[in-house]
Formats: sequence, C-alpha cells, structure tokens
Amino acid sequence: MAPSTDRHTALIVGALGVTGRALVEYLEDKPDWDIIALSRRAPDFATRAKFLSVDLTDAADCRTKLSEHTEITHVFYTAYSQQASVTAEIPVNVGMLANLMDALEPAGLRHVQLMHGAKWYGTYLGSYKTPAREDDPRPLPVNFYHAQQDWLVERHAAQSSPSGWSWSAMRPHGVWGFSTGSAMNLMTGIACYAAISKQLGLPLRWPGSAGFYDRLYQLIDVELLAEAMVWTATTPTAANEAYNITNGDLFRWRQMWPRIAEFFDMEVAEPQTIPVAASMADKGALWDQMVAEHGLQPYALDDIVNWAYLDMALNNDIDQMSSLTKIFKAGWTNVWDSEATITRQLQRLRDNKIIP
Amino acid sequence: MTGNKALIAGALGVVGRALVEHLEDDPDWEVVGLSRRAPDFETSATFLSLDLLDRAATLSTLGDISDVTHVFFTPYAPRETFAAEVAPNLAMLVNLMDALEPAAKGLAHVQLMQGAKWYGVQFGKPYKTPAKEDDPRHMPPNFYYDQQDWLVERQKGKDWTWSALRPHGVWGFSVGSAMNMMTSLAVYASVSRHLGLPLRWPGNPALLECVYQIVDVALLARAMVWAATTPMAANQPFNITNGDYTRWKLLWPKLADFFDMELGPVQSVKTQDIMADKEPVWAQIAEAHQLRKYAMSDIVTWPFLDYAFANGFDQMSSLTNIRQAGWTEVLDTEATVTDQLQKLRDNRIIP
Repeated sequence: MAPSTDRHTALIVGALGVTGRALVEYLEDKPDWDIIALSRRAPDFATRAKFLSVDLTDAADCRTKLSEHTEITHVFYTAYSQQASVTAEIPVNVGMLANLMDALEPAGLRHVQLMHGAKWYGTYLGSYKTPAREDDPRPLPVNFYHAQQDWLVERHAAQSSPSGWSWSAMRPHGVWGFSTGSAMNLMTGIACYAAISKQLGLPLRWPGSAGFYDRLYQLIDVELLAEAMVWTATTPTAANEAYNITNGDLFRWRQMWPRIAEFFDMEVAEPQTIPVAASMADKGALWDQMVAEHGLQPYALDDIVNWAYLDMALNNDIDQMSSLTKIFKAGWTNVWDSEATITRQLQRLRDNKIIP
Repeated sequence: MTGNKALIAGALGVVGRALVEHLEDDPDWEVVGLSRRAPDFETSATFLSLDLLDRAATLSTLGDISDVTHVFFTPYAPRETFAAEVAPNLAMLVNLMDALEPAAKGLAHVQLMQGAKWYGVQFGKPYKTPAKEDDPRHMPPNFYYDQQDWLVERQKGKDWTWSALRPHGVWGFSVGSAMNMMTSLAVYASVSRHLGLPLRWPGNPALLECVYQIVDVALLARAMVWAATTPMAANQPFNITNGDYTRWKLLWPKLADFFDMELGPVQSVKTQDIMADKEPVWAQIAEAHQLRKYAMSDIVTWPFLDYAFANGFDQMSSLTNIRQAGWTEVLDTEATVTDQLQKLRDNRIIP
C-alpha cells in the first residue's frame, strides 16, 4: 500500500456525461486512485468505480449519502442541469455545487475542479473575441459558469485553513468522445447523421451553416481532457486558476469532413444546411432498423444523440478559438492531432457496436 | 572537443543576428558569422565577410574551417521573380556545403531557415490554414523546395542530420536586411507621431480581422538551437511561431500604447510610396531624440511591409509537429509584441 499522501479518491460528479465517463475510464487503471462516481443513472458498462445515485438539488440527500465519504480528496464537478433559460440555470447549478460542498467539506479535500467550457466566452450568443483568453471580459448575460466559479472562489477564500483545498476550472471546447443520454455530444450526433445519410443512400453533406464550414474550429479528445483534468487537479503550480483546453490545434470542417466521409466510406457532396433536429426527428425507426441490420447495441437514437445541440454547435459563422497560452505556460505540454482524434474516437464507436 | 561551433550564414539578417546574440555568450558555443557586410555592433563572434554567390571565394574562405559542427543557413537572395530566385539561393547553399563538408569532419547538423512562403503565403491569396509541414506543395518555383530537396539528397548516408524551420512573422531587429516588418512599423509609427498624426492602420482593412501569428526572434533563435541539437527533431521541417494566434486588431492598440499615440481610422496606403520622401523627417527625429545614426532606408523595408499588409486572409501555421517532438516554449504575443520594440528604444534605434 502506498503512503497515504499518495492515495487519491476522486469524486466524479456527473459521471455518465461525456467528460465524467472519460475520467472514470482514465482513472480506472490508475492504482493510486479510488473512484466514487455520482449519476442519477446506473452505468451501462463494467467499472470498478463505486456509483452513487444522489440528487444534487436535495441538500439532505447529499448530506446523507456523501458526508460519510471522508476519503474523498479530489472533486471533479461535471454535472449540468439544463433549464429553460441561461438565467434560470444559475440558481439550480450553483445550488447543486453548494449542496455538494456543504456535504463534503471539510473532510480531506485537496482539490475541487469545475468543468466549464467555451460558453464562458459567449460562444452560444454569437460573435465573440477570438482567440478567447481566460481573463477576457465576461459577456452579458452572466451564465452559471461565471456564477459557479465566483461561488467557488469565495468558498475557497473562506477556508479556515490556508493549507486546505485548492480549485481549478477547465474550459474545453468541442469535447469529442462517447456518452449516452447527455446534454451535449457533438461526435455521436455527427456519427449518427453520417450513418443515417449512408443508410438512405445519400452522400455526406455538411448540415450546418455554409459559412461555418470554412471557419476555424477546435475540439478536444475526451481522453486528453481526462488527462488534463487530473494534471490540473494535481499540479500545485496550476492551482486556483481557470484554463482553456483543447487538442492544441485548429482546423476547418471543410478539411475534416472528407475524413469523416472516408471513415464511413461515403462520397462528400456540397453543404446542404438543414434544421437538424427537425429533419432527424422521424429517424428513430430507421435507426432501430439499422441496429438490427448491423448488430449494434440496442440504443434508441434519442439515447445517444441530442440533435438540438448539433443545431446549436454547427449553425454559426464565427471562428471558434481558445488560447492555450495560459495552460502551456503552467507546464501542460500535451497536444494531439485532431484528425487522428476524430477517426480514432469514431473507430471506438464502431468497435463498440454503437454505429455501423 | 566538447564545444559546438556554429556557422551562421546570413548573420546580419533579422534571424542570423538574433542567433549570434543568443549563442555568443553561451560557453558551449563558438560562433562564426558569415555576411557580405561587417557587423555594426560589438560581438564576440568571428565575422567573415563573404558573398556565398562567389563560389571561389566561398571555397577558399570556408575550406580551412575544419571544426564547424552546426550550420545555420539563413541568407536570402531576393530576385525579380520567384523563378529567378531558385538558382542563386540554391547556389549559395551548394557553395557553402561544397566548401565546408570536406573539411568539417565533425559536422553534426545543417539547418535551413525557411518560412510560411513554403505554403504559398507570398501569392497574396488565401492558402490552406492552419498550414502543416506535410501539406501538398504549391506549384513551384519556390527556392525553399529546391534547397530542401537538395539538402535531403546530400544528407543521405552522412553522419550529420538536417532540419528546416518555417517561422512566420519574424519579430526582431536588423539593419539592411530584405525583410523586416517590426522596424518598418516602428518607423511608420514614429514618423506618424512626429507629424502629429494618430496611428492609422496602413494595410488592408480585412487583415485587421484575420488570424495572424508572429515569432519573437529571440524565441526563434532558441528554437533553432533546439531543433539543431535534439535527436528527435532531426531530418524534418518544423513550423515555429510564438505558439499562439492573434489578430492585428488586437495587436494594433498595443503598438499605439507603446508609442503613446491615439488610434486613428484605417487608411490603407502603399507605405513605399508615402514614406518615400520621409528620410529628412526621420533625420529630424533621430536628431531630436539623439538616436543612433541610421538612415531610414537602413532599417526599413517598405515593400516588404506593403506585401505583408496587403492580404486579407488568415495566416496560421500548425505547431502540432514541433510540440509533439518536445518543443514546449510559448510566448504571449499580445503581451510581448512590444518587448522587442522596447529593446529598440533602449538601444536608441527608435524614439
């Protein structure tokens, strides 16, 4: 048994979202980490992580189920409660974080990490300043990322012990990896769109806005994100800051789209902008048929794709760029090639019989 | 022999000069600089006056230098057309290697200095960005291609290795070189200020919004040495920049701040035309601020500035390859774009 200071226990909140799930998998074979995972759902994969179902909006439920877990050293907070408006998301999402911290603190906490994203910079509002830097002025309106970070910074400052826990926040963009039933997943959306197009005998057409096809984009392989999360949470010089994180390169969908077509053995045709959610709403039965035909895992289309997210992500006409200078200067050196990420993660989907 | 000996060809250009400054105080390196001109600054480097296009002179000057370990090849012979550039620029490299290689038994590395012109930025039209080292070449001619192809052939079966660096937006000081954006901008701003004008963007308005990148020449010098001495980096080309991206609209206000000027509206001009009569103004500025006695024409390259500012497309190099080979340094361009200008001011080159 390693000395106690080398033992870590991660609490992964939102462990079945695209990021939380990847972190579970990343820590799975790290012998110095124990894993407690929170999700309302049960995992549909084998794991040594201890899964707990906790209602984060219920302070009493958090206390009952979490206050006994004094072994938790690192909190990775990736939960997201979607609400009708940006403003309505603030009290709910800050409240969930507060309930969790009230139940856990002070125990043996060493680090609390928030999972945020480029929405911090107003990507969902329209044109924003790029490359976006962590200290750029915040947009109006404030969203729950800002409120959560402000809340956590205040809570951090209020600690009685200066040697208590530290915090960090990650701001990835274009998280590329597998999840089921999560609010945001670009990869499964594009993969299912392509597979359905092929099933219908159509070429692969870019469904987003024509302008965006030529704009700069960035993504992060969810496995690299998991590594960066742990690096940030355990690197003292990186503590108490927010960091942009991506694969570290940039591309244009015009360059990447043919790679996706090759992966599915399809022809590329000129862009055809469509309302994705509306156009795919009736494709559930077709997907079931494809599942049977190709021997896929029996997921319903709605379980693995959020078409509305695709509409949001692909329908703008602005460069999407995050500056990585801050995290590089803090000592992070890992960069991955996005073309390799795209095809490798798609291959994982195919190997796991999620897509044909 | 424990030390390295660098032969820097083109040692008074913006890149060569920075490499001389980087290595001359390093006890592990001995430095020999090649240039047609003599240095106008104090240096512990050995300078040899040599025109690499003169094959006989090159053979006799370099044939005796037996202990060079690293060649950094940075000269550039501009010509009227791209096609006309091929022969002289290749000849300089061939002459140097023919002279050096038989004598330099300890030769370890030969590095070419290239740039984003490898990717076609010189045509003034959009090119594929971010540019990667293995992107398809544009239709030749391009003397970078000829030089690299020649060096790759020459290296086969040899003990030495090669590399090529492809910086973009080299940001640093030089005198009398063919390409210098920074000193040109500094003089443009200083003259504007002297005439009571605000700092007006002289380039294509569209470029203000485009993605741009620079490399601080001191970082470039460190990257050159890294690429020339890191086994994992051998025998391949690398893009190199500060490692971030910016836009001119984000940098321009930093320049205005540095010169304590107001930002004026855009006024696209050809600087080679409107600055043609400003030599006397510069002389007044130099007199008033007790600057070192450089003629304006010694430190500016207006046609290069016009060329660099005429386009309206993103200019981006991918740094993924050099990072995956182990290079980790990044500079914050918006924070450091004025650092090199401050050096000019400290050295009384600009007011």
